Amino acid sequence: MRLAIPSDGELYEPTLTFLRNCGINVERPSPRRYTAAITSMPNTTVMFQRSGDIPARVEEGSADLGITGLDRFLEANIGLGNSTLVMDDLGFSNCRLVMAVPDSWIDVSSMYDLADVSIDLHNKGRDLRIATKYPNLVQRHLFRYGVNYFTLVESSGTLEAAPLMGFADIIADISSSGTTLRENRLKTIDSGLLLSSQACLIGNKLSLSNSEYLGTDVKYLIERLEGYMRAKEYFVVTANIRGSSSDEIAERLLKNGKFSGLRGPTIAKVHTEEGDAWYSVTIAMPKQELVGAVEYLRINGGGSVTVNQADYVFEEECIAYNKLLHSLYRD
Amino acid sequence: MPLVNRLPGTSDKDTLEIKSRRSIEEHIQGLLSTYDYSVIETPVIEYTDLFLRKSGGELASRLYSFQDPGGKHVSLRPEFTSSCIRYFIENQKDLEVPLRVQYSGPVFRYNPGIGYTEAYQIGAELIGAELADSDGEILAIALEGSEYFKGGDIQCRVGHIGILSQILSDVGVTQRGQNFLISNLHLLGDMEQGENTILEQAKTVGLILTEETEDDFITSIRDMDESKALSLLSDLFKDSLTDPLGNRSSDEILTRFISKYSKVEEYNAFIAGIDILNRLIETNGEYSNAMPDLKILLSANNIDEAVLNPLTDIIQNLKQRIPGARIIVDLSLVRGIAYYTGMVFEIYDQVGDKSMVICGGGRYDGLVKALGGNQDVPALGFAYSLANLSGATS
Repeated sequence: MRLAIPSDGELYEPTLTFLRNCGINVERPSPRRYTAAITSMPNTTVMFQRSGDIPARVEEGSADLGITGLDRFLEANIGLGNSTLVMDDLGFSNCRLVMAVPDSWIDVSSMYDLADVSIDLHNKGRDLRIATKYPNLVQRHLFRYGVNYFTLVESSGTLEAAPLMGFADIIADISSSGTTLRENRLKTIDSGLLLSSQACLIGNKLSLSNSEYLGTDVKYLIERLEGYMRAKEYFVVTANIRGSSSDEIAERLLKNGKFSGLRGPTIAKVHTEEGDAWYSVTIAMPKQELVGAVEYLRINGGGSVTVNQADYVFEEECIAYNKLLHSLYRD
Repeated sequence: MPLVNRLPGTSDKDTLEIKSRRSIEEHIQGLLSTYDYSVIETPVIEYTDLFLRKSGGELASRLYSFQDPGGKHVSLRPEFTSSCIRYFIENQKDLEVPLRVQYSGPVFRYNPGIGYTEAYQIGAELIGAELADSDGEILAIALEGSEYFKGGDIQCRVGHIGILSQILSDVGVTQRGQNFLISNLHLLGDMEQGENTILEQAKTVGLILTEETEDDFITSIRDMDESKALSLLSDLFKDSLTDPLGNRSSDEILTRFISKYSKVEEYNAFIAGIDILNRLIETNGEYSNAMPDLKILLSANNIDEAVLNPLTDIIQNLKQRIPGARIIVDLSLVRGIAYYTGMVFEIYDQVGDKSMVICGGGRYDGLVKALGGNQDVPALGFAYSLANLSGATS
């Protein structure tokens, strides 16, 4: 199985860290080597590729799976071939693809204004010039809002400076904070958000269908990723509670609907020297419910509450993997 | 080597399928020929601008459009009408008016999420002919062909963009507001929800002011004469109007700023426009029932019912040609393509509980001029969508 991951820029470190957190250690012998191995996935080769090239590597099948930005995938996948989105949000490298126009364009506050301006310019023999690394996504967005006359200036350097340097009028680019836009005297406009992007896992349906490692390495990887993603939403709470029996405690706790956890609390007797009736309660719960839960435990005579981040949460089935299988068998 | 597949949405056709298509094609071509429509072929590929001038919006985002190796912006045709009109303009001095032409061939549209959407059209255009009579002719031919291919019940729905515009104009909505409301008509119907969406959209587009900007400043700029407003604004915004300006001068920016706010719709007229549209699109039905209802609705709103005359004339004309023709009047029908200006229609084939459009068309009087012709020429046309026709015949 061949897994392509970013070799460059803003996605490189976060991807390795993310995989490590998922329990997948990529062993790259040296930064100059463009392949690597994963101990827990013996049949897998990791290929380091530029994040912008990964959708093409997956589409052509030279990689079976790949991690890249959703922006890169959607930009490249406009041709709709063999690629599929296996997991659309891996929870890191969040960014927004936005349209930005000069501050000086006081008459422009939305995409609709832009449509007007493009006709104005066209009638005067000029074109609205847009600098971007995402020609496909941008073109689609422009047409959608009736901006029909424009020239795309494809540039891979820093785009924010393009209007000041005079080779474009407006830009469509990734913006994580907006500060760079402001420093270059640009502003965002209504309906100008093309995409909210983050890292995603993509796959080649054809090569995965034929892969002998579909049920092993591929499944293992997706399980790990999904387990880790889901665990990020949960805390594991342990507390000691005094009570007459585990059933009695369970009844008390379950009165509060939020104590059902993923399934229900696990309750075990604590064997104390004094022979008191203490029980240990363990429960996995969504993070946002923690404070209320601790309070409820206290009211019910609970103490020594410890809270741990869950490393992985695995459900009866792996949703992303089953979804992938479904898309493979359907074709 | 990995396999090179067919593009998504495309298909290969075998002899049988081709024969079936040809027989349909021959039948319709024969029918059109009896009405004096001569066959023409136009190129599959044209300058992109041809399709952008007037079709706009939805269709534009579905164009197969690219730069050819010589750097020209070109597109595969998404429809035939623009090409036929271009043909007319280029050959006008050698052509007799009215011009009747027919065509057939594939059209190319991209559908996000699906890919190429296969479509084969057979249609006709009638350019430069008198009103009402030509509408009746086109409707009659379209119906005649549909009768031959129908799989179930044929239903013909007729709307009229010109009537909608006139009514909106009567309640005080400007040309720009009319275009906006008509192209967003699909949002109405679901009364409250749709109305709010339209108002939100209208604010974003700058057609009506949002509460925050509805202030004395905007009003006073609007009421000032342009040169005075320009000098005031350039003083006011002199800190903003600095580099980068892009391809525009600060005067151009200010001029558009003024015109943007002077084109704002009168709020009450705009609301009245939405209101009357809401009622109009609800009043659809069989011609003989719908027309009296529409007249009552209009007179209740102090609008002269004569505004409906163009539609009455067309349908009377059709009834002379096909006495038993059943027509559903449906003013909510606008057909999504921005170039229509008058009558629009769609013919549905109802097979079981499945209803599909097998034919559609309408009048587009502004298209000749928009595509560079030197005068307005009345024109209209229609096309059968062959994918749906084959479904009906098989």
